[in-house]
Formats: sequence, C-alpha cells, structure tokens
Amino acid sequence: MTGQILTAQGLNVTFATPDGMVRAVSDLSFSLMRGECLGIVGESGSGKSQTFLSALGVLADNGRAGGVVNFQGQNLLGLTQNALNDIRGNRITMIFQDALTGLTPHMRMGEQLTEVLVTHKALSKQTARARVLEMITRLRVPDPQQRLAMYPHELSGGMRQRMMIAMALLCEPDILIADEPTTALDVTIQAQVLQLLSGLKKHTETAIILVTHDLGVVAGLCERVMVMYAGRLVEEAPVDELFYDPRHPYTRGLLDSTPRLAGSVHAADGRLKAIPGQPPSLEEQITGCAFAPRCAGAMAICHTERPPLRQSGPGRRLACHLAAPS
Amino acid sequence: MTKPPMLRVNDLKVHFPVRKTSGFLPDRVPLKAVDGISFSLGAGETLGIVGESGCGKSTLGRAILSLVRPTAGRISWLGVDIAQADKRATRLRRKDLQLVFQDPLASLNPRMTIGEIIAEPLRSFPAEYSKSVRIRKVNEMLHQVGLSPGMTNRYPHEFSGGQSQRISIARAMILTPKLVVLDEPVSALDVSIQAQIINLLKDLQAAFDLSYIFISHDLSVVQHMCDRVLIMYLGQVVEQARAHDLFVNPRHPYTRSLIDAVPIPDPVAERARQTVSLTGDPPSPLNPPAGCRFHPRCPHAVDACQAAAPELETVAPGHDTACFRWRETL
Repeated sequence: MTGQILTAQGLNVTFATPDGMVRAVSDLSFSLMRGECLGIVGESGSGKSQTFLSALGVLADNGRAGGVVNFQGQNLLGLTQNALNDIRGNRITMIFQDALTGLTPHMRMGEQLTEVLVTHKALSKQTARARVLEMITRLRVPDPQQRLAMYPHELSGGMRQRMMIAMALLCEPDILIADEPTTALDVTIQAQVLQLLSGLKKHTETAIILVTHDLGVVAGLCERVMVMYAGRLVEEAPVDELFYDPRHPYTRGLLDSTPRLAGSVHAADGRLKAIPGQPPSLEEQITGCAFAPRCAGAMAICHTERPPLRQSGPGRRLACHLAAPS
Repeated sequence: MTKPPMLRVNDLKVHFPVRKTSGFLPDRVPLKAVDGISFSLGAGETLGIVGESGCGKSTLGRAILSLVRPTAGRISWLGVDIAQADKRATRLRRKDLQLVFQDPLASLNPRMTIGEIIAEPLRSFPAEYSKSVRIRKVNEMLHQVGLSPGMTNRYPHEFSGGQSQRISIARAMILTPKLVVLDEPVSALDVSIQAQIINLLKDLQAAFDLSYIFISHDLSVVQHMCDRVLIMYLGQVVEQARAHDLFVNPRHPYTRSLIDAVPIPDPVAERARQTVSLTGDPPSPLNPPAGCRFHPRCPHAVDACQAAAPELETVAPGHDTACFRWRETL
C-alpha cells in the first residue's frame, strides 16, 4: 500500500476581492501516500481548507488556483468540470464540518446515498440500495432501515455526520478529505466519529486528509502532520516528532497554548502560554516570515527575508530562520 | 476561602411550551430545558457549567440574567429574589450582571463604532455617566482588554475574531459588574487566540473581583478556568464538585465518559488510551427517559435506574452526584 496517490506542486490559490487580490495559499507542495492519514493544522484563514477545495475545483467564484495537483497522472487543476465529476464523490470524496449543508434537504437519506452509486458505479437501484444498507450498518448506525427513510433534518448531528461519511465511502475512494469533521459535534459524539474514522483506517486502503484545528484529534488519527500559517506550509513532520520535537515556533506556540486535561503546560503563574498578537490578514503584503511579528525569537532577518522551506530531517520540512544552519 | 454566596439558585425550572409535531390534536408539551437546578456562587468564584448541546446550560445562564423567565424556583441575588422581579428592578440589576456571547461578531452591531458599542451600557445610566466620563471609561476599558484607545472610531468588521471578543468583553465589563455569564466565550476562536482570551478573563477577574459563570462544552478549558463545575444532562445536574475533585475523581458515569471522550494532544498517550465511548445520542429533552435520564446510554445501568430518578447525594465534602451506583462503579 505504498506510493504516492496525490501530489501538489507550487499550488497557489488567490481570490479577487473588491479590495484587491487575496492570497489564500502560496506555493504549497506536498504528497499524500496511499492509505495514510495526513493532518493539516492551522488557524482560520491559514489556507488549510482552500487547498483542498481548489484541488476539487470547488473554489468560490472569485477564486483561482495555479500550480499542479497530480492525481493518478492527471492535473486536477486542468480538468473540465465533466472530468472532475468522475473523480469527485467517487475517487476523491470530502466531508465537511456541517453535515446539514452537505446533504440535500429535500431527499430522503436512502435516495441520496443510492444516487451516489447509481451515478458513479452505474449500479442498479436494487444493488445500490443493498450496498448502502451494508455500509451504514458497518458504520453502526442504529435502525438503518428507518434512518434511510428520514430526511437530513430529522437526524441528529452525529447521525448526519455518519451519513455523510457513509456517502463519502460508498465508492471506496482513494482519498477522503475530512474538513473539521468533528468540530460541530459534542465530545461524546466526536469520540464516536473519531473511532469510526480510525476503524476505517485499519480496514480500507483509503487515504485520509484530516483538516482540523484540534491537535488532540490529529494526535489520535494521523501519521503525518503539515502545519500551515498564513497560506504557507511552515512545518511538516511525522506525528510523534511534531508533538515531541516541534521545531517551528508557531508549532511550539500552538502546542503550548492548547489547554489539556490535567498536567497542562502552564507558565509559572498558572496562565496559559498564549501566542501574542494575531495572524496577519490575507490582504497584507508580507515581507519576511509571516509569523515574525508574533515570534519571541524573531531576528532582524525574519522581518526582511522569507525563510525557505527546507528539509530538516527524514520526512521533515521546516521554514524558519532560527533553525537554519548558520 | 469560603465567601458568602452572592447568587443562590434554588430548584430552578425553565420550561418552554412547544407545539407537538405528532398526534391528532394540536397540543403543547413543555420542553424542560432546566428542570430543578440548585447551586450557589461566591464572590470571585468561577462556576463552570458543562454539558452537551441541548442540555439547558445556556438557558440556565439566561435565566440568571432575567433574559428568560423561570417557570418555577428561586434565584436570589445578594439576598433578593430576582426570579419574579419587575422590570425596573431588573434594569437596575443589569449593572451587576453581564453576559458575553460565543460569536463575537454576531453580537456586535455592525453599524456602530466600537467606541459607541463599549459606551452603550453607560448610556443606559446617563445620570451617572456624563459624556466626558464615558469617553474616559471607554479608553480605560480598551486599554484593559488589550486594545489601543485609538481604535474607538473603527467598526466591528475591521477586527479579527479574537479582537471582537475583546470588544464584547470590554462592553460587558464597563459597568463594573459583579457577575459575568460567559457563554462559550472562546469556542469560536483559534487555539492561539483562545489562550489569550482565557488569560484576559483571568486578569479581569483578579482586577475587579468578579464572579464568573463559565458555560462551555470544552472540558480542558473548564478545568483551567473554573473553581467549581456543574455537569448537566437533559436539564438536570448530574454531578457538581470542585474542579480538581471532579476531574481527578469523577463519580457520575456521564462525567467519566465526558472526560474520557476528550482527545489528548499527545500521540503516544492517545494511542494507548482505551476509549469506552458512549453509544447513542442524548435523547430529546421533549421526551426524557424515565428514571435516571442517563440510563439508556449508561454502561452501568441496572433496573433500579429505570424505575426511579436518583437525587443528588453528597459523596465527599462539596462533591455531589446523582447516581444510584456511584459506590459500586468507582
């Protein structure tokens, strides 16, 4: 189950706004291995969602994507909508934070789910229905028959999220993009959905891209993590190394400012170690390192020259002047 | 450090009439959002109210602020029953009791400058706060929440989420209240900003000797913020204790599963962890289960749990839980 399934080179995403051009993602390159779970972490506006919306051709109307996103020998960014339709919902699927907006409100769950298989796999309605039932039973949806007869609004939040996951898995995709899949859920329901996703990892070949701001969720599910800040990749590492040996000051700050149950990382006076300041707005022209204004260790060069993204160990990349070999 | 309670809530009930969606005849059934809750809060204390969506935690906060009228029960503020008070008395009390919402941008009027927004509570009491006093107080407050006084003429959309939350906090604090209800004040913020706001709230509490009611679903934030915690399930308290006791020694199975469900930002610990996650969703508050409301999801439920509802029982000093089996499930 090795080999790259998706690679991106020099991906740029910009939005034309009345106030000028806004850069959401800048010069992003990465690869995704078959069957792995890759976590993407960053603050709101760091470009973590836009990266994947652009790859699937579903950016907002004023958005433009440049660069190359290679999936099985084709550049996704150059495909027509028709060609993309064969891939979206079939080979690459996506689940969102808010399951209610991801489901069609006027169709019963059963119809929506079977439609996926009828469209993409050209199955008969009967076979499709049987497969749907099998899938949602596997996802441990109680009373599956009854739930399939319901409309999305009749389901609870956790159940809707499960239906959306079922829908995303029906075609046994190569890649599942999960954009904050548990953020809108209560903790006990979140735990159920996370268990579901980790079971999925063991039993399928599907690679998962988990976009989230919750480091706890990343720790449990991902093998590799990319940290984004202001539209750029600032650090990439295997999950253990990222948590136990974070090298970018932003990654460190993020880990330090995360409150934990028991044994928190506190400053001496019992306060949380917050990162001062706030992320730059995307309209800002950034010279130097985007994190420099909030970085305790920033040097003169950090404000004038952008640190290049460098290899910093096996499977690790880092963009920081502080770590550069002098 | 026991201080006399400022706020005492006694057997508080808030029921909303809801139209029944099924059945032949149109009918109204009560949605028991808050169903018999009692607690007290001392000066300078932070009480955490925790529970899943729909458990009534926000309604409880609103009832304390007289934003919804309680169906039954007593809320006494500094010894005066305010549950059934008239409008005038309620208005005067607003100075003491303030609220901060979850979504900072949605709670700021987009057509007012932030100077106007922060000064607005002062304008409700024109006799006490002249224009020059208002300007001075707004500038002081801005400084206190970490914004620059030069920002008074800007509009809410020019601020980020974290800054907007600072503005709502400034508005809540400007009348120097005694109690502030914080309804998920950091849930909408990024992690790095969340820590800043938590620190700010702690600083303000120390500066003004404030009491907080901190409503949240995030246990790690609650543990960090609160002195005491109240765990709610379907409109009722299932456990209350000092924060430390609650997290170290949770007695109610629901509390335990809530704590278990929190993902740990530590890969080795997270992989080693055995989660016994709760099955099912919380039932609808319109039709709560008989007996203990938690029994359909409880791994320890026995017949007795279906037959009768457990009362809150003291299991250790200052630590109450409502579970028949707390001794056996330790």
